[in-house]
Formats: sequence, C-alpha cells, structure tokens
Amino acid sequence: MTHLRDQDLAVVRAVIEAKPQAWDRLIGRVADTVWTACRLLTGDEVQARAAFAEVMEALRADGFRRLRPYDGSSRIETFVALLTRDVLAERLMRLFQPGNGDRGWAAFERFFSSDIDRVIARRLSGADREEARRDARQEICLALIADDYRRLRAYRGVGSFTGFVLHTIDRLLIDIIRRTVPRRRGAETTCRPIMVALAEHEDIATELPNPEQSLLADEGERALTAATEVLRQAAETLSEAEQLYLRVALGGGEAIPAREVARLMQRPVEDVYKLKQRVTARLREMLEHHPAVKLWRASV
Amino acid sequence: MTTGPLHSLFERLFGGGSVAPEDGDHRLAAELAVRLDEGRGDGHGDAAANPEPTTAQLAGYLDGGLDEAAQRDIHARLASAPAALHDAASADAFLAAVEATRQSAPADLVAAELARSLPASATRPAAFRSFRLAWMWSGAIIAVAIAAIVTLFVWWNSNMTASTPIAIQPIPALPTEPPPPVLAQPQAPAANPPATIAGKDETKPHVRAMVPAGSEEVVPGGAPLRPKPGMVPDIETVPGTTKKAF
Repeated sequence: MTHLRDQDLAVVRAVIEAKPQAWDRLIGRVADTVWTACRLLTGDEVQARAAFAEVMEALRADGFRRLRPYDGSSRIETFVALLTRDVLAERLMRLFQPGNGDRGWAAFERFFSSDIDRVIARRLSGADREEARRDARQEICLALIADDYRRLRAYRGVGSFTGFVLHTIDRLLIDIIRRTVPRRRGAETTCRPIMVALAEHEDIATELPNPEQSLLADEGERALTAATEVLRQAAETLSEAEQLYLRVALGGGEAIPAREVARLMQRPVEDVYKLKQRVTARLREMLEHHPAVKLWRASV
Repeated sequence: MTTGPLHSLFERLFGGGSVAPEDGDHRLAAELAVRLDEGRGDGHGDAAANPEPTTAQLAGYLDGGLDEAAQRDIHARLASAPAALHDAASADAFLAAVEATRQSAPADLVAAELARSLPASATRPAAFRSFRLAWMWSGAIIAVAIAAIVTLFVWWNSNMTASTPIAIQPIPALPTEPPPPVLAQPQAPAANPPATIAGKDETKPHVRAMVPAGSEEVVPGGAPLRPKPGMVPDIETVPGTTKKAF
C-alpha cells in the first residue's frame, strides 16, 4: 500500500471511530468527487444537488456502514466515486415501483445513457453502422419499457443492479444483431457456411431452403457447435487472465484495441499482446485435435 | 474440409487485428458469446460460487492496488460472470469520466453538510469542557473539606489539651540533680581584682596569707579548692560572679 493510501485509510478509520473533525476532513477530500459523480449520473444541477445530499446521508448511515469495507487498496476518491454510483443505482431501482415507472425511466436514461451507447458501439462498430446503432438504441429502450418495465423489475438482487441492467441490454442487442445482420449467401467469405446457417434459422418460416442451403446450414451449425466446444474446453485450460481476455474479445464485433484491453484487465499493454498470442496458439492447437472439430470436418 | 474457416475466425476475433475482419464477424462473436453463456448458466453467474467483486474490491482492482493473487481472483470472477464484466467495464468508464469532468462541489452544499455534522463534533468538546470543570470543582470542594477537617481537628485538639490534663501527656521535666556540694564559702572579691590581660582571663588563685609557723593566729578558711571533675564549679570563686543555685 502506498503512503498516500495509508493516509486515506487513516482518514476513513478516524471517521468510523467518530473522532472529532474526521468527517469534516473526509468531506474535504471527497466532496468534489461525489458532486462530479452526481452530475454525471443525474444529468442536471437540480437533481445532482438532491443526489449529493442523499449520497452523504447514505455514507453516514448505520455508523458509516458503507465506508467500513474500505481497505486502502484504492484511493479514497475512487472508492467513494463507486459508492456514489451504487447509492444512485439503488435509488434508481426504487423508482421502478409500480406506478412510478415514468419517473424512473427518465432517471434511468440519464444514469445509463453513456453505458448503452458504449455497449452498442462495441458490438456494432464502424462508421458504416451509425444508423444501425441508432436503430438498436431505440429498439433496446422500447424493449426495456415494454410490459411496465418487466425486464428491469426482473432483478432479484443477485449481483449489482448495474451489472444486471447492462447484461440485459447486451442480450437485447445480440437479439437485434441476429435479426438484422444481412445474410451473405452469395459472398465468398470464410464465414459463408456459418452465416448461411444463421440465416437459415430466420428464414425457415417464410422460405423453404434449397438443398444446397440446407447443406450449408447444417455445415454451418456444426461449425458453430465445434467452435463453441473448442472455446469452452480451451477456457478450462487457460489462466484467469487469458479466460478474461477471451470474454472481453467476444464482447465486440472486431478486435478490441490492446490498450483498452490492458486498461480493463489492469495489465501492461505488452502483457496483453502476449496474452493474445498464447490464446490463439492454444485455440489453434485445439482445433487440430478436438473431437467436435473432427466430427465437423468428417461431415463435409 | 480443413479447419481454415474456424481458424480464420479465431484469428480475427482473438488475434488482435492480425487478420482483417470480415463482415459478419460481429454476429459470430455475439453468437459464440451467447452459446458460451448458455453452457454456463443464466448468464448472471452463480452468486454463491462466483460472487461479483465488492465495491471495495472493484475500486482496488481498477486503481491497480491489488496484489497478484487478488487480481487473479478478480479476473476469474469477471471471466465467469458476464454481468460482473459489464459492471466492471461500466465502472472503469465511469471513473474515467469523473476524472475528466471533475468540478468543484457547490460551496453551500459542502457548508450544509459540514453544518449537519457540526453538532456531533461541536458537542464533544463542550462536553469535555464541562467534564473538566466538574472535575476541577469537585477537586476544590474536596480540598476545602479536607482543610476544614484539619482545622477542626486542630481546634479540638487544642481544646482537649486545656481541659483534660489526664488526657494530655505532661511535658516531661528535666531530670533534677542534687545541689552541688558547697566547696567553699563565698568570699568577697578583692578590692583590687587582679588585673586581667585582654583576651586572657588570668586570675591568680586566691592565695591565703601564710601564717608563719608557730603563730597562733587562726588560719582563715582554706583557699578554695579547685572543683573536682564532674562537680559543678562554684562560680562564686570566679571574681565578679554570683553564685547561682540550680
């Protein structure tokens, strides 16, 4: 722990022990951070002022219960910023009570606006997909509002509300991508068999596939199954960091820049390049020997 | 059929840009992500087996303050729970935004918060002051009480000494000695006391006149004898002094 974080820990401990002037010292350290966080998450000054007071009260509540887990492994500003986010997310969750949904939705949009844009931009990247991104955003919002915010009220307290919402948004986006990505039946791409397989699942109700398309569809489905099995088994042999890299990479439509991966994984950029090399080498090796791949190869 | 298509797909998704992306890769990546999640469970992770990082853990992780073992633990949790990974990515972006748009809190809000906390911090010193005062006053009262008790005792003691001799130990008298034997009658000092030399007290012994032998003259009283050791000297023998009796 650095000397500065030792000081941060001493400040927090003094607050928890209710020493004189300790709370005032803490306010002096984190007031700007809390205010900035409230402005970002509420969108306007009036709401931010109310949020600020609520956050401060939450920090004091129950003998500074929320501050007690602080262990000095982060700066006090970082910890309190994330606490502010937690408090305002809980406040948002309470707004989605029956009959109060509209007020909750306005706050929801302000809270999650940047996150929704970020998730969509990751999966639908590229300048040529700007319209697709706008359409996807609108469709996601409609899906969340549907049935009196049924999807948001499905939260049962497992994990964070923020994580739950973002995962729900990502799943809705994947459904949109499955429905809207144009089929590439004639394209000479390495993905052709797989893409045909995906397209076939959508067209089965309206158009009977021809024999070639069926063949390609079956081939594509087996390819996808093989790929999934290889990834699943490979993940069991990879380190924690390599597994995380795999999940991060599957969160986007194209390779994520190494510096973004490095930031999210809290590793140097050089380590991320090595991670990529190890993961692809491992997958290549498994492709040669995995039974599902052999089965797929034998079927064509 | 070679593994070419899958190999190429993996290179594009995980190889970090070494192979040019293809149209449709984003759909394949999404498809694979969903299938992996379906194999794992409900996609939110098993809270009991792989709980999401706590806020303190997430803050330590994103601030780079965790050791190797703790970081591996967080990596495992984020890899196994998509919701946790989304939350971490959101938190990371949020912290970056806070850092980039930092602004000062309104002075009135801060003042109001300090004022709300003031009674708790202000009453403590006042209570402490009143405790000190109480302690000082009680000490003073005790001191006065002790002084009063001592004074009372002394007064009582003095009263008891005057009225009840039995009660009072008599002051022991100095041991009395029998009067010293008279060694010589006191004699009138000589009319002309012997001359004394300054600083010296020379006194010639009183010499009796010698009576020639054969004389029938009554020999007057003998010359005063020098006192024996231990006996009180007859100070009368010293010219100019008077005999005093003890």
